[in-house]
Amino acid sequence: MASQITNYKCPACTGPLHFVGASGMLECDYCGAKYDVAQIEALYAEKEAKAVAATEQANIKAEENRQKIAEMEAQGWDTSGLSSDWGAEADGMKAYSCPSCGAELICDASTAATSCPYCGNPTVVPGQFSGALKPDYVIPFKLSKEDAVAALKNHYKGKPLLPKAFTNGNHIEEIKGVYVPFWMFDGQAEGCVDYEGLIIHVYESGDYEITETEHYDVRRGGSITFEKVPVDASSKMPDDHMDSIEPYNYKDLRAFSTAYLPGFLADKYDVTVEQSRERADGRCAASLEGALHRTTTEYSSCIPKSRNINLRRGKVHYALLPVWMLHTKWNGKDFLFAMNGQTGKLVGDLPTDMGKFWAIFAAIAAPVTAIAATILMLM
Amino acid sequence: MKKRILTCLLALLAVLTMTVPAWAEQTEDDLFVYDTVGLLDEDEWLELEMMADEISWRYNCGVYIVTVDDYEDYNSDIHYAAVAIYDGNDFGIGENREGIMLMLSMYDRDYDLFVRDGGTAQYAVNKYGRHQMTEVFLDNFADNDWKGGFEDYLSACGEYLDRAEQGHPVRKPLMKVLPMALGIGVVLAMAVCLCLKAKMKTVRQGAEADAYVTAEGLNLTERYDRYTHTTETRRKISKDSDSGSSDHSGGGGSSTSGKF
Repeated sequence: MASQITNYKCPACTGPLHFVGASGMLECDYCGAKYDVAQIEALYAEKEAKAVAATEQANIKAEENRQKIAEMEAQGWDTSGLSSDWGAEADGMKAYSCPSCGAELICDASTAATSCPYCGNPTVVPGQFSGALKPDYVIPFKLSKEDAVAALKNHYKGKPLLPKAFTNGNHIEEIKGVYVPFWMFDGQAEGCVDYEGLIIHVYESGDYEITETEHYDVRRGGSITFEKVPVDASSKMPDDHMDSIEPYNYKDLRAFSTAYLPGFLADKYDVTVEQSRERADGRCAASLEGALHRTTTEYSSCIPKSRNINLRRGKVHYALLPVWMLHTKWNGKDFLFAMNGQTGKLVGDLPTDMGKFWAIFAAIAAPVTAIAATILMLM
Repeated sequence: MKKRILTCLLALLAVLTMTVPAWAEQTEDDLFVYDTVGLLDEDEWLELEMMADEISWRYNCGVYIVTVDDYEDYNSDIHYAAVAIYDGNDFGIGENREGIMLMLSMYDRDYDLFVRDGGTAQYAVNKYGRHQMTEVFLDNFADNDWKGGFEDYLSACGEYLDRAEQGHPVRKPLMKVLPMALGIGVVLAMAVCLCLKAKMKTVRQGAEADAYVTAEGLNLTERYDRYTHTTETRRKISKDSDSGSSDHSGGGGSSTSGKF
């Protein structure tokens, strides 16, 4: 049984509305009308509530159907042909019907916003973000798909080791604007680190160079308070890509509204707070260690001997942050790029042309060797 | 008698070093061998003077021999003592005051081979040339064979200047410098290439959370520093060559000095 989803439609012409980052408004593709997020939010609040209720009703009905089939099996009927089980692949999938064209959309259980593959209308699954699942914040997209393509082209520049065929023959297979779910952790790291501090003096005495090393027992202790350390809460998103496009500017954090979602994909979290906490803890502890180490500048070097760092955990926020995911394929290999939809920071590993690597190596090594040989001979 | 006159002359000119800012040029009558200590007898001195005179005017580059009791009478640094003597005595031929000077300081048996910068002398005798040249005379001086050492020095000067005139100055052989030059080339090229390769990788796992520290920053609550002990290591300073020589430059010339 397909559940209900919401299309944000233009109140003027009923055309589909998209959230546009540059204007920060919902815009109609057809009549060009622009609406404030708050305006559309108010207009659709009731519809969303109905959609949530319809979804819940659909779930109840689906459960009743399953029970009926079970009862029929118990009465000895052969119900093998009525099985609604789509196998392991269908686990965690959900079906929705598009309010615009009626087509059935099959999505991941965590999908919260998508677009209909038949009519292309952006759709939002309100039930994914209701009640306890409602995110606290959202940072709306500021940059468009065109910005992401331009950023990717710019990413290729100034990289002489990039195979020429990659730049020329490489086509972007897919660009997705995704609101990625993040847990944001508040907290405090406190503790102390013991070091062996060394102050080194080097001087010459007669025919000898004397290195005098003063040894110290050094201890530094303190605390640092962190606010909203983000850890991505979607198993679909690679953690290292999400870490690399940080930081986000939290000045643009808005109270969550589904009205920011039309035109983009969105997932609800499928990695729990407990699963994510360890990564945040590790980063906070490393930051405290780094900050304490930076207070030992009077020493030539400080070697950590032991550390005792405790973490006081604070509030956890749930936020959707904007990410452009770009996927390209070259020589049968997948290349994934991620761009911060707010700041434009783009990351993604590129292939290295080892032929170019050695050519550049030779082009530098040969003249430098010749120049060095000439200088050494003239000395 | 002649030695006494020379000593007086040199002492007088050394005093003038501090006071006379402009240099006069070496003339045909000026000497090239100043044995103020008296290591040579008159015949030896004359023979060497003639030899030096002949080489100097043939190549327009003065080749000098100076012996002093203690270089520290001129400057605490042996190189600058040589500079003081060279400049103070208006040594050198031509506008650039081309010249090569071997100074022996007998108090601590020090030598300094000084070469005037910026012209023929430097082209003919570079750093490598200076080191090669010292090997020619140091063994004589070690045996107190003063005349033999000075003769070898003057012969070497003649040979070096002749090769320079022919456009083939004495230079370190290519095979001697190639390993080091190759090492420099390979290390530099590899560093540049690895830098370029590092630019291809921009995806990294987040290791710290510095961007999310509140405005208060670090609240340092404990700071403890206790001195425990001092350790000391000694390393013998290796000299530029086996003979324990060292190189200097400045004051319009470069030199190699050491003990004999």
